[in-house]
This record gives sequence, C-alpha cells and structure tokens, in this order.
Amino acid sequence: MIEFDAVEKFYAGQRVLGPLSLSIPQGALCVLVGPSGCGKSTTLKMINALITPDAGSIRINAQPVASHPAEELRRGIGYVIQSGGLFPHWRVRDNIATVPRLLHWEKARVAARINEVAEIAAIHRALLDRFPHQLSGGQQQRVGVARALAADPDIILMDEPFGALDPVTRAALQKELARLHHNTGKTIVLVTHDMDEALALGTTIVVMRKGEIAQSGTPAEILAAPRSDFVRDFVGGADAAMKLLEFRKVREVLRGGAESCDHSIRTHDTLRSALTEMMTTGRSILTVQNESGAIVGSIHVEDIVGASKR
Amino acid sequence: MMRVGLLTPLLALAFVALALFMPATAPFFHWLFPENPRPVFLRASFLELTLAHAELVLISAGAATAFALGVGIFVTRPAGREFLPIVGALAAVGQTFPPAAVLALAVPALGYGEAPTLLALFLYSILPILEGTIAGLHAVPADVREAADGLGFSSATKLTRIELPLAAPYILAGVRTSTIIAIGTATIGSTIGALSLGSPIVEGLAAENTAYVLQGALVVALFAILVDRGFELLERRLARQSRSELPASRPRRAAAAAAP
Repeated sequence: MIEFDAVEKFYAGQRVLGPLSLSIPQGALCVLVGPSGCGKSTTLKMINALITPDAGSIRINAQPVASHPAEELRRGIGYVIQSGGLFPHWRVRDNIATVPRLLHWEKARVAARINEVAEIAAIHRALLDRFPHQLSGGQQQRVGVARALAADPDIILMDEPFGALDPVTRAALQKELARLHHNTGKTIVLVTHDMDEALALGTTIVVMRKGEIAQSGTPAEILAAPRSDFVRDFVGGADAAMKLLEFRKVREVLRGGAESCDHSIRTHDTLRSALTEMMTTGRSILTVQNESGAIVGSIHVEDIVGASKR
Repeated sequence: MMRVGLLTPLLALAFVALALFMPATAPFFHWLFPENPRPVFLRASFLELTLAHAELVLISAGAATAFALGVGIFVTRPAGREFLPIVGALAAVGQTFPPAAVLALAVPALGYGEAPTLLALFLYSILPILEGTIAGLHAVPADVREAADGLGFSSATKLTRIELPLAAPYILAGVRTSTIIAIGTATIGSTIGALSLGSPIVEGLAAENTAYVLQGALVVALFAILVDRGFELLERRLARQSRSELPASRPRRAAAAAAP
C-alpha cells in the first residue's frame, strides 16, 4: 500500500504539484496518466525519494518514505526508466545483478538470480554476455525490467517504460508486463502519457492534469463516467464508448431465457468481442453459454449499445 | 594497421639505441658537422638524461592527474558545483602562463634545479586533465545517472562504479595531452639546472653546437611519440572493454594481436 497524503511540490515559488492524496493498494497496477508536465513523473519519483515533497507525506506500508535512508529505500523498490538507463560499460548480466550486488548477496545467489529474472523477462541466455549497445530497444527495455526485478522488490516503479519503442515491440512488452503483474502480484506504478497504454495495463488509473488528480478509478469507471471534459477528451471522446466495451463482460447484460440461435458466445467474453461476433455473423442476437458450455441466455445488440452509454 | 604495427617497434628500437649508444653516432655527427670538435654530448649519458626526463614527467603528470581528478570530481558534485566556473577559469589562466615565466617566478622561491621545473610542469599539466575529467563526468548520460540513483547507488559507489569508468576515456585523453606537453616542456627545465633531455639542447644553443641540439631534440621527439603511441594503445584497450566487444570482432582482434 502506497499512500500520498496532501503532498505538494513547489518550483521557484510556484506550486507544480498537489495537494495530492492518493492511495495505491497492494498488488495494483496503477497507471499515472496525463499530458506532459502534469506531474505524473514527479509523483512517481517521490515514491522512491528521487524527489522529496515540500509538504505532505508519503507512506509505504504505513512507513513514511522519509524515515528510511534514501539508498536503502531505493534498493527495495524496482525502478525502470524510459530509455532503459542501462550501464553501457557493463554486460547485460552485470546490469541485471546491480541491486543484488549493492545488497551484497553471495555470488552463487546472484548468479542464480540472474538466470531466474532473465527467464521471467524473456531475455535469451545468449544476450546475457552482450553489452547494452548490442541490443535492440526492446531487448534493452527487457533488461531494464529484469534489473528492476532482480532483488525481488514488492514495488516496481516504471517511468514511461515503453515510450521509446516501436508499436509492435511496445504491444508485446505491454502484454508481458500484464502477465508479469498477474503472475507475481507485485505492486506496479507506471507512468505514461498514452491513455490506450493506461487502459490496456492498469487495474487503477489516475488521470492527472496540472499537478492534480483529474480522476482516478478502474478503467471501466473512467471510461463510463469521465468526471470532466478534460478526462472525457483524454480517454478518447466518442471513441471511449468502444473502449468501454473492452471492460464489460457479456454476463453483465445477459438476458434470461434461451433464444435459439446458431451463434454463441460465453459469459466471460467482453462485450467488444460479442459485438465483433455480431458484426461478422450478421446476427443481432447471440446465444450465451457459461464456462462449461451450458446455454444460460442470450445477448442482444441493443443491450450492448445501452451498455456502451454506461 | 600494418603501418602502425611496424613503425612503433622501429621507433622504439631507435629510441633505445640512441639512449644507450649515442656516443656511437659520433662519426655521423662528425660527418654532418666537420668543424665541430665535440660532435656528441658527453656531459651525461643519454640514458641518464632520459631517466631524469622521465622522472620529471612522471612526477609532475602524476601529481597533476591526482590533483585535477580530485578537483574535477569536486566541482561536478552538488556540493562543489558552484566552484565549476571559477575553477575552469583559473585552470585556463594557468595554461596561458608561459612555462618559462613560471620557471622564472619559481626560481626565487624554490631555487634552481628540479623543484621549480616540477612546479611549472605540474601547473601546466592540470588544465587538460581537469577539462577531461569535467567533460567526461558531464558526458555520463543523464538516464544512466538517474538509473543509478533510482536503483540505490550511494554517491560514492555511483562515482567509482559508474561515473569514473564512463568518464575514463575523456580523462585518459587529458592525461595523454598533458603528458605529451610535459615531455616537450620539461626540456626548458634544463635552463635552470634540472637534468633532462633538454640539457644537450640548452647547452648546444649556448655553445652554438647544433649537433647537441639535434641529439637532444631527436631523443625527446622519439620519447614523446612513443609515449603517445602507448596512450593510444591504452585508449583503444579501454574503448574495447566497454564499447566494441562484439563477438564478430574477436577473430579480427586475434589477427591484429598476432600481426606485430
């Protein structure tokens, strides 16, 4: 649990951030999203004390961040930055081993851990003995993630981790990050200016603007009920309705009674795939099956349209 | 590559031969300057001169490296950053002082001989190393520094493990420049009584013995070229360690190593 309590930051007498209160539950993948200069990176860097707040406090598991020596705190929190920030004079293996070595782990333990996280981050063994400049951007970023994971921290901070990558690599790494979050249950705080990335990854989304929180909530909440015009525009305006279908399940608009139809869909599918199925088959009604394949009802196109409005 | 591979050992051979057996060149210089009754400088052996010269350079460049590194590190830390402009200006002014003037000013304080020469060489060697250190530390990419901070490096560990190794090529280039300049400048020390390869030059100029001047200049030039080549090899090795360790380049390197 990461808690911000009335945190403020000033530059040259001007308040650039806050007062900001926010709590990020254990195991969340919290995405801070907003336009450039909205304070999302500043917020992130306060969690590992790279930036100190001028007012208010930040607590991790009820412990104030300021009560730990900064270096000790940071060794316990994974950190990934946009360009990777790999140490160019160290091989991939040594880059990954950075924090375990700072923590004076035994040699054998470090070596074992390098292989372990390389596997988690899908880094091919042959790359371990290369230097960073010999890797592609996507590979470098994998190493950045592996380095952040190496000492098995509970919290990982990621500052625009996929911002410098091409769309294909970016999508692949997003998928892997979602998988990694799902498998490890770590608390991840990720900064991006890309709302689609936020929607694709976040369990919690914090939309920021001009140093303040414009809205926070689950992706579905923010898509369904943007609190201001800014948030509405930022989540994609009219397109938000389509995006929302991604977060709604068939079971939410299920009608009882089995209408017979030769095309079916399952209860845990998204409304978006239901709509796609309707469009490809030309039906406006689909039969709905539960997980074990039994028919439990039907879904109608007008219900999907209704759901997209909220 | 071939040219370098052959030339350097040849120059080294010439240097060693001249330092050890300069008197053997007497017939050549006698032929060159038939009027000259003493065609070879004999007051001290050229080996002795070379060693004295090397000592002057080693001590002054060593001290200047330690000093400039310390100052360069200090003015790039948060605590010393405000001194950066002043230090840069001071070092630049130090460089504009002619070494002969430094010698003239140092003699009353330090007397004749090695001490004022060392002082002049030391002062003269600081700027390139200082500039290299500052440029090198500034050239450490911001994201690398941020990553080091974010991962929990202490500032001392960050300096020794990340910043200095990455700045090393710049620092080494500064040391190289300083050392080469010092090898040339150390000859001036002989005007105030320090023994160096400048001794035959100074004596030759005073006694209008061009042969002495040639002999001193030849050995100094060879010395400077060889030391410069040494630094180049060191720089290449340093670059190889971090930047170009491509698996594909391994066979080529092995071939290059076998060439000389």
